[in-house]
Amino acid sequence: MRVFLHELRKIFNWRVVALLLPIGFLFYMMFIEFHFTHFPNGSQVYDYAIQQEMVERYGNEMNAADRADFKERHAERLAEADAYIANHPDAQALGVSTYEEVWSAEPENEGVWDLSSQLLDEADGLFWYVQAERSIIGQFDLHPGLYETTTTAQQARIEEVFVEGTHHSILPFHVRYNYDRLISNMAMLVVISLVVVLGPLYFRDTTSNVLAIQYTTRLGRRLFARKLVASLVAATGMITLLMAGFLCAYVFLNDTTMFWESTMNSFLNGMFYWLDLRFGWYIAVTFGLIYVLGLVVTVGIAVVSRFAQSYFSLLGILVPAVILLFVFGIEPLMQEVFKVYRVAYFTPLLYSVLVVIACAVAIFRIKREQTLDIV
Amino acid sequence: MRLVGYEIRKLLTSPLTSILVILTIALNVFVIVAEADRHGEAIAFVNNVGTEHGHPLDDAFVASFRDAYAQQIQELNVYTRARFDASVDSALDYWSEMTFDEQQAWKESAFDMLHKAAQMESILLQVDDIDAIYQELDQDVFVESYISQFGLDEQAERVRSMYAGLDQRLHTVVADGEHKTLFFGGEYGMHSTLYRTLLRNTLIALSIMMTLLTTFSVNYEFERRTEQHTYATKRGRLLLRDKWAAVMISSTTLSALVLGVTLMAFFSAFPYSGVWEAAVSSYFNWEYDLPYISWWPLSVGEFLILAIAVTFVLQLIVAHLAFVLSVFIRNSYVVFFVMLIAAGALLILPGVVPVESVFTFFTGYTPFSMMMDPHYWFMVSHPWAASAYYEVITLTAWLLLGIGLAILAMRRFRKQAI
Repeated sequence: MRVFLHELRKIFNWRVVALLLPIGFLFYMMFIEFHFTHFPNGSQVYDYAIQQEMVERYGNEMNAADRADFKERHAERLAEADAYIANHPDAQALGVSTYEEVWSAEPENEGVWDLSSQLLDEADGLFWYVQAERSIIGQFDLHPGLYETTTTAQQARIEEVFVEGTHHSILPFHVRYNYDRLISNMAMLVVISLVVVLGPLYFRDTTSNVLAIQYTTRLGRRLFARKLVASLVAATGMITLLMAGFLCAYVFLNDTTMFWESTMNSFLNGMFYWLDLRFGWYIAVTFGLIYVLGLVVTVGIAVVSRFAQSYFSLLGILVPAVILLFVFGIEPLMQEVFKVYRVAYFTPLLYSVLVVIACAVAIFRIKREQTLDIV
Repeated sequence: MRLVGYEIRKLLTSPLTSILVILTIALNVFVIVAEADRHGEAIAFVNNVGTEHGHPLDDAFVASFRDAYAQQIQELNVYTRARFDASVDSALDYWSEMTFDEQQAWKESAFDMLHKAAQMESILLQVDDIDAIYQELDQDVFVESYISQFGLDEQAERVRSMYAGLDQRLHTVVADGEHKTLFFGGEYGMHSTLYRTLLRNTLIALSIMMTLLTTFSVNYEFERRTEQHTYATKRGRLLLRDKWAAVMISSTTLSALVLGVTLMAFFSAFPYSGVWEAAVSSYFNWEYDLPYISWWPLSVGEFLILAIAVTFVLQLIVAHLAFVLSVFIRNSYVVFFVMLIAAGALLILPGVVPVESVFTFFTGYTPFSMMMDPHYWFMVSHPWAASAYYEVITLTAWLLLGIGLAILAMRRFRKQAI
């Protein structure tokens, strides 16, 4: 226990923390902040307003009556839009009087074409709302045949969703997309933080030439395991801190909590999943996966740190490994969780393999340290 | 001199250096293979056109190319008359209206012929339109686009004045026919693949490598705890000079190695022999909203040579910065992350300095910002790199700064207490 506490204190020494803060800040500024400040992005503000209103009116799922009601309300708004156009001097000059006429104009008909973009900026976004509602109504009539799939299992899954009717839930594409971006960038931030903080843990002993002394004692032989436990605890703490911060920011800045009860297989999402997860549970699952990923990475860092003979080899291995992980690994690990275009067991299998490898490496190393030749 | 040699050997023969070099090259080759898979054939085709008909798209080109096209159509019609009892007038129309089932009925070689004819026709059609398109293009098109893209309405006057020389340059481009030269076509994005993807990745990888190697070399004695011996002697204090030379030579060697292999792979996947002398400002190199307009008349080959030269200088700058940091911070681990923080901070600078500030548009003048946009080097580019001399100013200023700081660091080190 005493060794463990000392190790923990060494992990969080002030120099490392002083390095971590600016790195975290810069990473946040470059890759995360955008997804908070630009949500909803651009004209999606109008879509978002309508989608929020839908949840307020109909709950997280829409039935046939709700859809009829939505169409009715759309008709009212459309009438309003028609009236606005009919009274618009520019429209009168061009000889158009309805929404349909303006929006079905060909690009060659420049006057009307320009009028449509001009109208979007007027009338408090009325025309944006009309467009947003139309796009949603267009998605009422989706059916399984519309989706391109590569295997019959995928097709069967999509059909199942439609039979069970879970696609009637309301989870907009841009909300899910925004979360996907945020969570994978958070995973990267977690990995970077772990590397910065845990990287030197074993290497400090190598560089201060104390290994020979340590490994002649019983406790010294167990140091690898003790340090590993300390790293795992430290990693868990760091991940908790980062993810708690993220959760606060997410709930506070991009308040999507009203959609948390909607299933992921929503007709608005444009994506199907192997599980009937609700968005809130999906968030919980991805949080769990970040813990798993973080702890696996911690074992990797520990092993590299144990064998590195110089800072050059320590960073020379960790930095390219992290880059490779980001380039090839983040997408399958964080963005394709239970998505239908992967095989059904893709996500559980991927993480199980990672965990098994990490456990095997850790156990093998801990055993090996007991009998390791130190000369 | 002997010490420089030893130091270089230490850096370049380390197994990790080889791994990093191989990894960088492997990533680049991965990109090249994926791109070649997508449109290697189309590139080879255009390159052949360049070889056979020349790259300036003048009347002579149009005449000879039109003949070649007519011949192709004739050959095609021999096949279609015999096979389908039909004839083809416009290969492009025929091609775009063809359904999948119809395509199945074609013999493969004849289908290739049709595809080729369609590509030829597409080039001919585009050549006809070039003059009209460039007539519409002036300074304001660029300025307005930048203003709306970056929300610079309040700074409009300032932005406009920064591009004051652009109209004249556009006139020269059109007058000298730089825009009417044959390149692969913006839809294939070859310029972006080579510079924006490959060269940028290479620059980032080399910078990481150089930072690690530099700090490894400079702090070697401190890490191995031999500094008390080495730096106790007069010669030992001069060791830093040898290390400096070794780092700079290694930087150049590694840059040459990685760039050499990458470019060799690139040009064996995509033949450029027919378009070397085409201008980079060519209409057929128009990839994004605005065309590429180089501030000076540059051919594709010249641009490549300049880009290679800039890469070497950028790596020397990175090596100098890492060298200075390493002298002052003796922990290599910290040096690496401080370098990372510095690069990140300089990169986000244009985003955090308020646009009203006098300095706004100077915040782009850093080597790290430069590394992000190799495809816009020496070209008309966004307001943070607006000057025609952006590259020259940035490289000169930072290299001088780097050398100056390195000299200071070496001076200080000679008398430093260990």
